[in-house]
Amino acid sequence: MKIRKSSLFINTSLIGLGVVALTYVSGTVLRDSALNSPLNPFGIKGSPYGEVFAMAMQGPIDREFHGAMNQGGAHHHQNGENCDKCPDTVRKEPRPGSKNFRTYLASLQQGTEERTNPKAASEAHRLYLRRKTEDKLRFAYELDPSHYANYTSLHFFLTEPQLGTRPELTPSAAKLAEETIEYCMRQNYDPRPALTAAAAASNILELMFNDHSWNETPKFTIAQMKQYLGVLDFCINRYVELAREWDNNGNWELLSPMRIKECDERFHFIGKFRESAVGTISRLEGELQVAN
Amino acid sequence: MRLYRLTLASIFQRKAWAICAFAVLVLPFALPAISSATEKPILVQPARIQAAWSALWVCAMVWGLLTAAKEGESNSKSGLGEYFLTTGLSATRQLFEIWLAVFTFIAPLALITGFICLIGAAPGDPLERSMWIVLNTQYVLLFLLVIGPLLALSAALSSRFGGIAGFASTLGLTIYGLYGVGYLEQMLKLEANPILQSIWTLSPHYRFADLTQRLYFKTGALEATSFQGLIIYFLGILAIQAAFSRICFRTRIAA
Repeated sequence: MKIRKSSLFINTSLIGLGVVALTYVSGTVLRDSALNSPLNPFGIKGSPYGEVFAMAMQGPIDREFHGAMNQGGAHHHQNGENCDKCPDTVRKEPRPGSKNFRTYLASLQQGTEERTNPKAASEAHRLYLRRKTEDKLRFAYELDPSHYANYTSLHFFLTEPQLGTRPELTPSAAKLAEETIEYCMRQNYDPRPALTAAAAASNILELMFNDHSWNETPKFTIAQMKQYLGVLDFCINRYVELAREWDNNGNWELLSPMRIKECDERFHFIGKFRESAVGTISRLEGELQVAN
Repeated sequence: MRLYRLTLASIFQRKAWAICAFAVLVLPFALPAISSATEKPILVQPARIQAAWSALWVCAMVWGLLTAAKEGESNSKSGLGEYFLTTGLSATRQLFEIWLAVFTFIAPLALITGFICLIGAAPGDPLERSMWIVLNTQYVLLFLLVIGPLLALSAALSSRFGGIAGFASTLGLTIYGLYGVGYLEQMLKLEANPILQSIWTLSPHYRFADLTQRLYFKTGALEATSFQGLIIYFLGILAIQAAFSRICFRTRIAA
């Protein structure tokens, strides 16, 4: 009985002490902004591992994106071809024991993803699918915000009109672009994020041009366009500068030829966009002067 | 300390600790090879830090808690607890010796991780380097302060409810404290709810002990006042969990 009483006393004292300690500090600890770090299990988002996972997520993203666009249909197109030409739609019957095991696995995957429901997805279901897709795209983007393809996929998804037919510079797309530019400009040891930042600046510009073409009273001024053209130039210059640095220290050799080609293509595309953006801005400026 | 030596020897004999030692020693140097650090050599050190601490957390959460659960369960199931009770070893003392045996394996793993960060990823700048040493020491201390009581809780719960229940509930509590509270906070920011708010406040915020991102972003060492607050906070949790573990711990399965 004596042991039981002393044990009860120890337990009560321990709980009492713990509660007092927690009451004393929990307010300060929970409110201490210095202790708050972003919610990021194992620090994976934005890390060197996150960058690899972001690349690996390209396949699933492609499927998810088209899944949502096809209202639940899971097959994905290749190179924008329509369904008839798309090789994925040509049904491959499962052939157990086939020598071509890869084809067999592909047919199994197709079988599990095929939509057999004859009824179209309901409004609510479509909304759910879109939301799920957006979550996935955002997750891939957060893993590596400087990844060109992940950023552009999320941007196109956010600007893709749900009710109308015209892509708009929505606040969420603008915020995404601004955040991407800010993040990429902090990466000053790799030229590729500068290309992603340039893509973000060009996306903003493109949507500003759309606004001018379709709205009678445009929301964006020429000065704002010129400001983003300046950002675009800055990003392009940063890319050129860092690419030269990589030429000198031989870092390009660490990349596969395919990835280098990808960079060249993107740089070429952004260069072309810049040329046409300069032309568009001067045309719009001229139109405004005539109107005034 | 006979039970301590016995538990220590049986954990050592099972050899699973070697996997943890391998993970903690080798992964920080091997994993960066599959990260984007292969393309950007400047990222090798951040990748190493992340691999080192992630490996330690995973080892402690999976192997550490499972081993504690196994030992707690076998002590009550095999009749060993009852035997030691007859030799005059009280239940609390048994729990302490089992806990100490598991902790003897976990503590060196944490020290090795801290050491790897010091030798394999220390910044070159002298000011940053001194902060690096302080931050790593703080991290090791906070990690041990968090995982220590959880090991005892795992052993105690398993001695009463069985190994699977003890391990799963403690692992769940750890994951909830590390990441769940963060998600709950995000939910509360979107929509306030007094009940959820109280649950959030009363939850164990183990996330404060995860300083990986501070190391990764070189945010610098924790301020003395913040660190002191954290130590008191985790000591408070330790006291409550110690009492809970004492209450739950059984030296034999109830008939």
